[in-house]
Amino acid sequence: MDALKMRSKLHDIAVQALLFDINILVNNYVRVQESSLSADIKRLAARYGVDNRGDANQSLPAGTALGQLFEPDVVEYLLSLPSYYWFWQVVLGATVPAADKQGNAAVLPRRIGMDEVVKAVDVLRRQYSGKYDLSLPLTALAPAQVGSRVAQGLLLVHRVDGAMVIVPNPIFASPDLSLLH
Amino acid sequence: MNYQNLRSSLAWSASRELLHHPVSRSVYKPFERGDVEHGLRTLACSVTGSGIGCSSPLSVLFSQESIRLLLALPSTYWFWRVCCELHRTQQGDTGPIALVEVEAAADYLHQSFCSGHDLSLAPLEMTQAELASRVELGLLLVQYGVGERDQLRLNRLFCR
Repeated sequence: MDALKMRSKLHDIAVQALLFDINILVNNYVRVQESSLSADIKRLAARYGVDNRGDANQSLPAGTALGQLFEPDVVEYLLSLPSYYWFWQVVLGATVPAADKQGNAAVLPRRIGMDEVVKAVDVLRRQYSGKYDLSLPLTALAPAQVGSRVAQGLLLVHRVDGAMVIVPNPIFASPDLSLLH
Repeated sequence: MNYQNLRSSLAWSASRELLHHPVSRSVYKPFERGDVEHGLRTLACSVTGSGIGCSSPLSVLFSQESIRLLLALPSTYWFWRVCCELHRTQQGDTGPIALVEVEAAADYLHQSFCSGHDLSLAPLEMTQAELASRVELGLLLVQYGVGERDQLRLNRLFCR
């Protein structure tokens, strides 16, 4: 499997997760854990793994699947995202749909790097910056502005021991994309 | 007409609609009967045993009072969510779904979603976290406007 096909398959897995996993909510804070990711991504990683040594069926040690597909700094960033919804949105943006798979696999890095993720995050921000002033701090927001940002997942609700906390979505909270590096 | 298993079949169809056509529970987005009838057509045909009535599935499956209440819900999400809970009633599958069954399903959702929330509070009286929680649950809904001119609306399903 070449780098382009891996990205195409990963894109399909992201689409499936976003469309059909009813537990993935746009505005609910959940700590992302590699062990909770679907078997599909683990199978893809096992097949594609850079340390595969020719055995496509060998199982990977726990916690290493993402490392076969993404550079280490990207793995760290993805696991810091505030929910599986936003994890898959970034993966979706950093990969390519099947319709675009005529690209040149030879020019792609074997693993998805931070450059591809930064572009995906930038696209996500631009999707929302037309409607929302992303520079406004939480304390400056009127009730309807809070509600609207929660509905879209720019702000997330984190329930901790019966208390509720608003968590700004880091995808939109930091104006400086270079901070992702 | 064969209404056997109608309520449980409807719950299954509603779950499938929620999965395949996701609409945020936090958003106010009024709808028309045509927006939901496509997802009910197969079930209505199985009730009538033919193609008759399939052009108006809501009228086959629900009483007129039920239809009025269901179409007044704030989005297709809440329409299908109520349908998911109709199997909880003990009315039996003897005819179209009556208003009392729809109201019982709405009551069940009221208990599930509103527990611990003082529904008499206005948005300005809430902390931001409380407001955020209510939007996330769908007790308060966002009606999108141009730019940042969005509005909050109470979910009428819970104003009972």
